[in-house]
Amino acid sequence: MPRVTTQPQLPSAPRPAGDEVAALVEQARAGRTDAWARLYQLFFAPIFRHIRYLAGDHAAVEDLVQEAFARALVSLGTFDGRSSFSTWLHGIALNVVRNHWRASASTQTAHHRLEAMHTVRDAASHGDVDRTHLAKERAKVVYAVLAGMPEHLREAFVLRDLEGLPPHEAAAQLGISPGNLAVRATRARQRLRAELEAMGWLSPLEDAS
Amino acid sequence: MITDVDELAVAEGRPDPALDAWLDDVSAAVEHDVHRAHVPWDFAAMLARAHALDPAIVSAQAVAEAEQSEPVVSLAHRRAAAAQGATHDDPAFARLIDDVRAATEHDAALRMNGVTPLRAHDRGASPMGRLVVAAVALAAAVVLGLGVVEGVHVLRGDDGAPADAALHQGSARDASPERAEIDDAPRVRPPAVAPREPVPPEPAPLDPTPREVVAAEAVAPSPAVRPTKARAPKVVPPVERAPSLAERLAVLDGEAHAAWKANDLTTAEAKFEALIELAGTSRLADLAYGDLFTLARRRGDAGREVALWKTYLRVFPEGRFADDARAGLCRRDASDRPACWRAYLEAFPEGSYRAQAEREAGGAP
Repeated sequence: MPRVTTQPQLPSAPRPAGDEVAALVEQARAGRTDAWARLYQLFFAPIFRHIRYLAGDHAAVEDLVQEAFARALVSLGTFDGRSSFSTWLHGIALNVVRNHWRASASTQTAHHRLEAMHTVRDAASHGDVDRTHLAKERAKVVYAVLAGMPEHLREAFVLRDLEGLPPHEAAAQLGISPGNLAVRATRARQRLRAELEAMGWLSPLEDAS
Repeated sequence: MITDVDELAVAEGRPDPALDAWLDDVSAAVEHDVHRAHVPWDFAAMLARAHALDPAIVSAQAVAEAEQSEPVVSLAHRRAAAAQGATHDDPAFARLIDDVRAATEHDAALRMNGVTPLRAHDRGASPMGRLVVAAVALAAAVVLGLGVVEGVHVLRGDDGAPADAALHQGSARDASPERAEIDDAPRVRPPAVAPREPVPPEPAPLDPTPREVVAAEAVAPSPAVRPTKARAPKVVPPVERAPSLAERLAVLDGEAHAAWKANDLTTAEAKFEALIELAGTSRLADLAYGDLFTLARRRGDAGREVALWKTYLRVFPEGRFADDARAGLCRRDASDRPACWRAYLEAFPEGSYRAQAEREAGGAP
């Protein structure tokens, strides 16, 4: 079942108008650095947020955001306008994060998982644990589990269930159909639940039948 | 055979509040991080990376130009970050500004709904029309009055703090999305700033009939108790009240942004300068300097930018734009650039421009 997020959304500036963005993209393609500066500013916050959700770890986000914009700038000639500039840019950000995942995939995953389990257990064992702290520790666990999942499940789940993007938008960013997105996100969700059950954090769901 | 669709149908039909609670926590943790993040928006560093990726597309000259001409790229972000602190640490001033804004918007709404002052054809309005107009005017006066009373109360300080102390804590205006739009990046069109009308000292006259008489009609329950000529209430001249400092600042801010939106940059600059003069070393003045930097950039007045940075650093050596201003001076106005960048690194070891500073500082002095 798609999750209805209860978290407040970021206060964000109004979305730039499509025609303004299209004009800026044309100018940037023509070599206008000031146009790219404006696009950088318009899309910095959403790309930062997008990458932060995907990466899970804030330590690398700054560099990844810079990398995404730099790669987008040198690839601007390949933007054909079939999708919106925003979708295209988010797709580049996703590729940058995928490369980051691959570069950092190692035995660290298992190590992080064990570490996360410990920290959450420690946090939960204190009755007066700070709510924010507990949330952070839970986030570590979830991202540790996600790190062990295939990329296609992980990214569908993050975009749909964590970042809370509308299905059509998340699907467009991944280049798949909304139905396919839902299947991937659901599978990721089931795997996540199974892992959390195995770690003893969640009780098995009662059979509805 | 179980298909994806079957699997999906089964999965989606099963609520899972326990897992949802976990995921809410994850989202909360990420949002918390995003809100607290202080991320340098070093546009020049991004261009340098693009140049490294493909020098044919992003030339070294473009990078050099960006390093020279874009020293302030993070205003909008910092404003947004500052806004969170401002609204949290100064609820009293935020309430005051909200009240002033509410009264202004109410007045604007009256006007936009046809209750415009002194139109010839309004003079012959029906008694019912005038009754409605009077009721709305009365409501506006009450709202404005409450706002002023509340504002005075707030400025006097619920906690006994001096009135002007509130002004030194920032304001709720920072929190508005349109405020976050006031930025410094090169613009293709005027910033999308919602126009803010100056706060009127009194509700605008709605009709040639004195306000008090109309108001009396508005509350008359029936013709039987309509005031006769002999019993008509006295027309009392409105008491002139000098606008408070907060109101004057709000008016200046509104006028500055209205002028900016109308592309009248000269007037906008003059209004921000007047605001700075009034606001002293408060956060409002700090923010107004950011607006002046942006305006100077838009006018292409490099000399003015340098002068503003110097003035700003004298007044706000640790202000929210000090990092940008110091970097700007190193880029544009330093006779000894390496020394300037070394001093920058010492003052801002985690500064937004540390990458360039480290490149240019050139090792030990």
